[in-house]
Amino acid sequence: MFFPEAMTEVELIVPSKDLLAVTKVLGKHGVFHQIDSTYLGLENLGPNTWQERAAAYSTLERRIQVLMQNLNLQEEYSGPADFETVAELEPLQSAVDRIEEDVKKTSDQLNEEKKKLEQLESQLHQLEPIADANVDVGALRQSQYMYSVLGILPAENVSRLQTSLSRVPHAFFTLREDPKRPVVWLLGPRSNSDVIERAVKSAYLNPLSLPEEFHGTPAQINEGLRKAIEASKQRISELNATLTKLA
Amino acid sequence: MAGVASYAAISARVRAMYAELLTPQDMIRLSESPDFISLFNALKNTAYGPYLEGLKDKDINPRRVIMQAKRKLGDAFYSVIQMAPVETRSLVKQLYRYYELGNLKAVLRALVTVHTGNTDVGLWERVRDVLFPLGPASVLPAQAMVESGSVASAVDLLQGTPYEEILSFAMKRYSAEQNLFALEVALDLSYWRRLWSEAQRLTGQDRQHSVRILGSLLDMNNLMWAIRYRVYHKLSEEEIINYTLPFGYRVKDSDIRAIAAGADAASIIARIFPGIPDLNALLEHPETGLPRLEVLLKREIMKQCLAAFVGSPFHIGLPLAFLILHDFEIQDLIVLIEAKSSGLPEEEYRSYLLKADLLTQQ
Repeated sequence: MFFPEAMTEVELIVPSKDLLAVTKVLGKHGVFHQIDSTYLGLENLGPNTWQERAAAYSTLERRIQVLMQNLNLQEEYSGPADFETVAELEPLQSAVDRIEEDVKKTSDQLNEEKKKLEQLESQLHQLEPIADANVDVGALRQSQYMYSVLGILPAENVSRLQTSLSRVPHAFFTLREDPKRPVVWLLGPRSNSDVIERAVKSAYLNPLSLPEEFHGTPAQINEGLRKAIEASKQRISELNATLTKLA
Repeated sequence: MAGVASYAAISARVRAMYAELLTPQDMIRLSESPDFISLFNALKNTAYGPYLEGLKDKDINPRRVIMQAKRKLGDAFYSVIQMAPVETRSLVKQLYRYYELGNLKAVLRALVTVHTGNTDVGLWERVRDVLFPLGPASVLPAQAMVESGSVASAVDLLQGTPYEEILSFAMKRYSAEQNLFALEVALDLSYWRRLWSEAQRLTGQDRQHSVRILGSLLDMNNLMWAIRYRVYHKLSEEEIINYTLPFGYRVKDSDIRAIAAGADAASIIARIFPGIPDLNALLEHPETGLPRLEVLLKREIMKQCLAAFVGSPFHIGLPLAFLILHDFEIQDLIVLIEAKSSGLPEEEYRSYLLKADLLTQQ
């Protein structure tokens, strides 16, 4: 548990050439809190290379922290935290650049693959309600003259929706009977797509968005999705293994 | 249908409570109060007295007085629900849920108002004063909903309530449109469908009277929805049909569909309610005409309710009619309280008073 201690504000003015030596002495005591002096307008008093250098080290530290996170490594500082032992910045930067490039490439691929897996699983979940329907969904989507909506709506709205479309040529199919959430499929001329769209929206029909790249009946699409999910999981596992090697 | 014995006690109780309702003459006397404080003092000499006596001086304001008046209606509902025959109880409870529906809409509107940039200081305190005092009868976690900070989080808190299922569909639209219209319409339709279904479940005179009384309420709402969706929202025929109901007492589905399709609404209403005058003029100036039409339709409902007190009292129609008349009385009081507190001249609010209007018509 940390408890606050009373502190005294001290302003030290030292020549730039002695800055490092003074800071080292103060740092050894472990009780001196430095504050950013730029707001005091002191930045114009002399060259601020130490500030720039400190900022460069800080940036480098952040980059290393991100790398370690991507590699699932814990942050551990085993070496001495002494100014004398601080590594040179330039060689460190080039090493970090190289590691970063390797890790970033794999890490980006992994994130992309995870997103893809999430999308595939969502599509599979959406298709569940119509898994038994024997309809070629892909063919319907590509129809030039027909407008088609597939979705779930509150059961109590079904008959009103049908009534509302009584003056519009259409075909209405209940693909899955359900006392609360039936799955329905509505077909009409593409020229009436606006009317149909407004009607289904006002009936609170939630359309199912199906994957573009799969074709056939829902069962066939499901099979394709499951295979794609397996492949995606395999790829994620390989990318994780690559990251482990890099670590 | 429930037997005569099961209605003996409730019938006597409802008649006693009915006798305490304000008469049209009382309403005119109250209307003659010169200001809000005089009105408040006059109300203390009525059946609302016990609800107003306890108010401290600092609480004597329109909002608090309206809240206390609503408490009397809440007590009347509680009394009727307790005494109603078992088979009719769920119908009365569903009718009472109308106020919960109003509370739910108020909570959602408050959240949207905050979301669009208004101050959220003391939001719950401000919302609480406009909610119907349902007490433990409500399933709404109203305060938690208001404090949740967003419509989506508030709706999440409705899990396990009768509103969960219908809002799960409507929320998809709300997320896309960021407009409460979709939620409110879905809630309204669901409420009235349930009420109608409860009425249809009854038998004999219970069913006959509840369909007549509640169906008249539904008729008014359905007609006003269809007209407003057409006039104000410019909705398509299909949308109006989906946002209205296919049943009622005097207003048939074919009437609603005709209005949705663009037929002359005035002639349709005139055929259904031949006693309503000047329909063309009312519909030609919707800003003033539609509120007036709503008042005239409420008068038609009042007639149905008053008719329930004539003849056999052994049916659920009598308690339902009393509760609706009581609700209309509260609506009249709200008009009076708001008018007196804002110093409106009588000619500006008089036409909105249902009971006083009834006296004029007699």
